[in-house]
Amino acid sequence: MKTPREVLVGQHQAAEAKLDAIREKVVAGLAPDAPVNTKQMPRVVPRQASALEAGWRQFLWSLRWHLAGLSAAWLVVVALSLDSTPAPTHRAARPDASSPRQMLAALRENQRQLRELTGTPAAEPAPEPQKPRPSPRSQIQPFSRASA
Amino acid sequence: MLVVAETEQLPVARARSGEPTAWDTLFRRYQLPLYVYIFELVRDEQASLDIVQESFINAVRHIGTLREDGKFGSWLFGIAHQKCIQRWRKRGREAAALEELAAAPGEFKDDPAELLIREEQEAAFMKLLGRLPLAQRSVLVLHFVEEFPLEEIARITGTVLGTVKSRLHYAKQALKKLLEEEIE
Repeated sequence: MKTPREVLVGQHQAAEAKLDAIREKVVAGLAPDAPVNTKQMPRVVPRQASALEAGWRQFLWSLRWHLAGLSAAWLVVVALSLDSTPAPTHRAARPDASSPRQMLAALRENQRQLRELTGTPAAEPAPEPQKPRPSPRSQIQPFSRASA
Repeated sequence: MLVVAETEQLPVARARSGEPTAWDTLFRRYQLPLYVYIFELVRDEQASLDIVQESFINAVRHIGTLREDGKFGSWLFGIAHQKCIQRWRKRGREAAALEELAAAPGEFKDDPAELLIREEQEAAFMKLLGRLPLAQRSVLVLHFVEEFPLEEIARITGTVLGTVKSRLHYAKQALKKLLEEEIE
């Protein structure tokens, strides 16, 4: 009769050789003259290093409120400096700018109201300036011959 | 024959200082039980060997997190257990791996002699062990292989003591029943 433990361990005894190889490989990575293999080589943290680390942690922990206050102050300073920076102004084209035609109409209306107030009779509207009409082609003197 | 970890004088303190011979002693002591446990969870030889190696490397790296030297064994098994869970997660089988037993915790009475196996039953025992739900199998193998106290099994598997008691109780019952059926 065997215990379940004896049965279990006995069933896997064949893996012992492979496990020995794994153990040797891992332990070889611990040796000081072991080749450097960053992926496989275990990193042993000596006690002195951990004590130093613990000391640093304790020191920083004791200053946690001071550091938190300083950090908050710096955050406020950064936020304020960001806020006071002038934002770039983009002047959009103003849609209320009147067109020349509207301005002319407004000017005429203004003149009419002024005449009504002063009682001045309406002046003859100024004749519209005539656009220069192009002469008929037959009247055009051929320049090159005339000058020649 | 292997003895239970807590009764041994293991060179954990020397291992902390990075002494290779101390690590060799520790790994030699635990390599086979650890492999048995991992194999019974993942059921794949190469994957089990890989997890053993990763567990050893992690143990060396994180020995600073071990609080009690006497708990080195359960701590190492805990690392291996986490590696197994990571492997299941990678394979998308966490639902099966992390299943919880719905049954309420039963009354657990520990009797080492209650399950003795005759030579002709060995193969059947191994086969039946594989048929148990994963959560029960995990607790049962830890109990059989290293005879860890229930509190330590709870720590290794990341469960509460009541759940461990329940799982162990039902696992033993199921195994006995299966063995009886096999004999008949």
